[in-house]
Amino acid sequence: MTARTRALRYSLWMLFRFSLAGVVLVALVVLVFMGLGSNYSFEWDKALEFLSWYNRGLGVTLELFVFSATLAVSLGLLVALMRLSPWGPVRDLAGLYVHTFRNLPALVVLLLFFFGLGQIIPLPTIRAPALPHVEILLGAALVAVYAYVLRFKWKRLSAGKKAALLISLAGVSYLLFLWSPITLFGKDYNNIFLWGVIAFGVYESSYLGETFRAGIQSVHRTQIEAAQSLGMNYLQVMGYVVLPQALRVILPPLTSTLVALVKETALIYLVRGIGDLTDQARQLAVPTRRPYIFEFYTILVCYYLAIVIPLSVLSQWLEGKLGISKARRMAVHHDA
Amino acid sequence: MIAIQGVHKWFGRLHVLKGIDLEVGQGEVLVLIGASGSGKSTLLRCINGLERIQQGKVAVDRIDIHASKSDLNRARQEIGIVFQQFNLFPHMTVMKNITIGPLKVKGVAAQQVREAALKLLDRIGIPDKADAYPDQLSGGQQQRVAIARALAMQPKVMLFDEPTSALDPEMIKEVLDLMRELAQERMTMVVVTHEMGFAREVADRVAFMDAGVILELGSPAQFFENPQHERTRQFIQKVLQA
Amino acid sequence: MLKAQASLVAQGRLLKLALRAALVGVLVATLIGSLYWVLSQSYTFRWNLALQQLPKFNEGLWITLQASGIGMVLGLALGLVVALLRLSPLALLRDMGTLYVHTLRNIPFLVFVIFTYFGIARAVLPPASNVVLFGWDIDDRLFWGALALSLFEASFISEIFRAGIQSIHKTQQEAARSLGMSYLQAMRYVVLPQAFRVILPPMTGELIALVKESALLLVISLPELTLTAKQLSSQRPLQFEFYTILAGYYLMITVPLSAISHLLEHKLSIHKRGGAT
Repeated sequence: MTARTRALRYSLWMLFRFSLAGVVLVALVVLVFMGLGSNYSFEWDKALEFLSWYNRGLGVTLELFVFSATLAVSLGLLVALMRLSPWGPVRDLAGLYVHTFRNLPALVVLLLFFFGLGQIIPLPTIRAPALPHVEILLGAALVAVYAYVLRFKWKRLSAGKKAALLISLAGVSYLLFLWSPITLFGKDYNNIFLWGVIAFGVYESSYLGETFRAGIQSVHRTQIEAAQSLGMNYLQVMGYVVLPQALRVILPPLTSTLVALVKETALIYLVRGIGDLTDQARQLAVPTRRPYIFEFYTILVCYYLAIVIPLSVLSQWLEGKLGISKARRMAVHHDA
Repeated sequence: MIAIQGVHKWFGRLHVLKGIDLEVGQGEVLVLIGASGSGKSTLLRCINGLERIQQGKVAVDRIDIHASKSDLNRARQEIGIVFQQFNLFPHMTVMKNITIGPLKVKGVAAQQVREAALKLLDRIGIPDKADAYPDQLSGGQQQRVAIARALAMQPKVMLFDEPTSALDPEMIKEVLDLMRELAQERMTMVVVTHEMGFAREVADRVAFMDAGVILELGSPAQFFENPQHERTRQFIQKVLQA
Repeated sequence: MLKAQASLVAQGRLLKLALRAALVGVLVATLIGSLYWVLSQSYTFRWNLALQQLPKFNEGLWITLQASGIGMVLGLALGLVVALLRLSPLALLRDMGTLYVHTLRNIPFLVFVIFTYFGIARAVLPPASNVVLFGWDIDDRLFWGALALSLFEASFISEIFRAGIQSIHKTQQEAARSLGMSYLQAMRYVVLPQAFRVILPPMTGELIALVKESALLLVISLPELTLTAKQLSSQRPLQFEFYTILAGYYLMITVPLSAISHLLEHKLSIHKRGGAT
């Protein structure tokens, strides 16, 4: 039995096992429902007609995520550098920032920014300039990233494999962005959306700030000394020695924070509906007009699972790759 | 080459260096010995500015180390240092470790840098390990790479902070041999070590530090056969007995 | 002589710390002061009117504490059960536990609350506005809210339990079983007491997160803190004040909890060997 067939059989077995467990769980739940006297009639086919609504919501959710994540990472870096600054007051200020936002619920931060500041400082509607064929550009970017990651293995691939890889990559990225619900460019972003981005960005930047700081501090002081002894200036020490090593420590919590951010974007529904995934489901699930409420919400749950689970798996895979390849190398420091 | 005048250093309340005056001439090999806590490593680290001083002056090749930041970076290009714990960059290959200094700090052309690095690797005896990562090498090999990394900058002075203390006994010899060669090539070296044999054979002068002062300074012959101070005598006896 | 010097130095350090705190205080005050001044150009702050509503906030606080408290207790119990499921030798139980955990961890709590209340309680189950439990009349929003909170948090709590239990080396279990203890006895007397130390720090963190999540229960109209603030702001145009007070209430709960968790972590890590995480 080759390794391939073994892997295939294993995954099939796993699928069977989890399906069985799922069926048992669902059966238990249905029994509980019936025991509690439910006489609900399920109408899945009627609910599934509304999938296009969900897709539109998915687009809004993802757009909110992309912008908030960018803001959170940038602010987080700034906060981390402030926390590591040699000036006490700067450190303390950043520390207050971090501890305040980490101890508040995300919803409260959102409300504070939107209703508190948002009413005082109304933001203009920003129009993102239209980029033609943005899917192709984004697809090309994806290919470039993957090519960079593969650059060492590239030389050892045969010509046929290289061609196959290129074609499949191009195809996947093209399809991905053709069907993508994200537009990002050429549309208006209104006041609500912008304040949402600011609120989520600021909130998550407090967590990311700590993550970045811990990562940078995890690089042993002796590494910095060695780099300095070569005559490197601050930027060179950071760029060539500290950050590459810090990145390995930062990546796992970074990805988990970003995954949490995707889930948090659902909160914007509570402020104002801007048509994100949760909002769309709520608009659909009006008991008087469409009484198949349970189905609508189950589909909503499935949509979130469909986004978040692949992201989690991806982040675990990344950690694994980084862990194996770099963990050995990082353990060079001996304790005398 | 190295001029240390009236240097005092405090770690908080602790007075670690109490007025050091020392001169090291070009091509001279100075070995610093002393008990732990005597301040010898601290003094060494003051020479390339890893430790700040509160009083006095340290000048290397007539550049005042503690004057300004830009001077310090320039001066550090002329001073090579080898640490007890090697401190190689674990995320870079051996080749990258050696070449990053000349390439990014001195701005030498890549081709030249690579050729010089290969020559250095050959010289330290591990030409085949260019693309290996530090954790794939033995302790002795890592320390030799650390020496090569420092040498790649073509420094005027080489500092060694207990370079063999973290090594297994079999590997100490290979590192000391390399240091011996450097001494023969008339490199200016300041070495903090417990290896008395090395001190006796290679040093031009030996300095004994105790509680933050240089108690004795003299040629190896003078030092080992005819120590002036009681403390020096005690120390030598203890070390030679071990 | 030495003691006098030491006390002088300690005084010096205390002075330095006090000075730093004062400097930061001044900085923060200036920042907030100038922000306040800028904002007040286009908005009239009326704190006195807002602070009159504190009693309403306190009512909301009580509901929040109730929901969080029930959520914590139930969540811990359920979490332990799920953790044991995931550690059970029976594959079916393990898989059910894994499915449970992975489903709940990967959706937003808001979605879960909506699903539980509007999807199940109000749709599938026969409607009831009050739940009668053991003779107590519980408002069904509080009931379902606390239930959703505990079900959701149980997935995270079970992971903490599981990791903690698994961190205790298998040899401990083996030694206990070799003495003739049953699986549950080995757990109770040998593994869980040791796991307790490992589990406590992340657990307190999760409990703080639970309190913060309770804010989302406003979506089912549970009159907890956040909903109180929202309702008050819609009645009177004092949103900035009300939401700042709201933030203050949450900080009042979570900051002490955070401090306790830091203290516990510190105390426990002293006893750990070598490298702390």
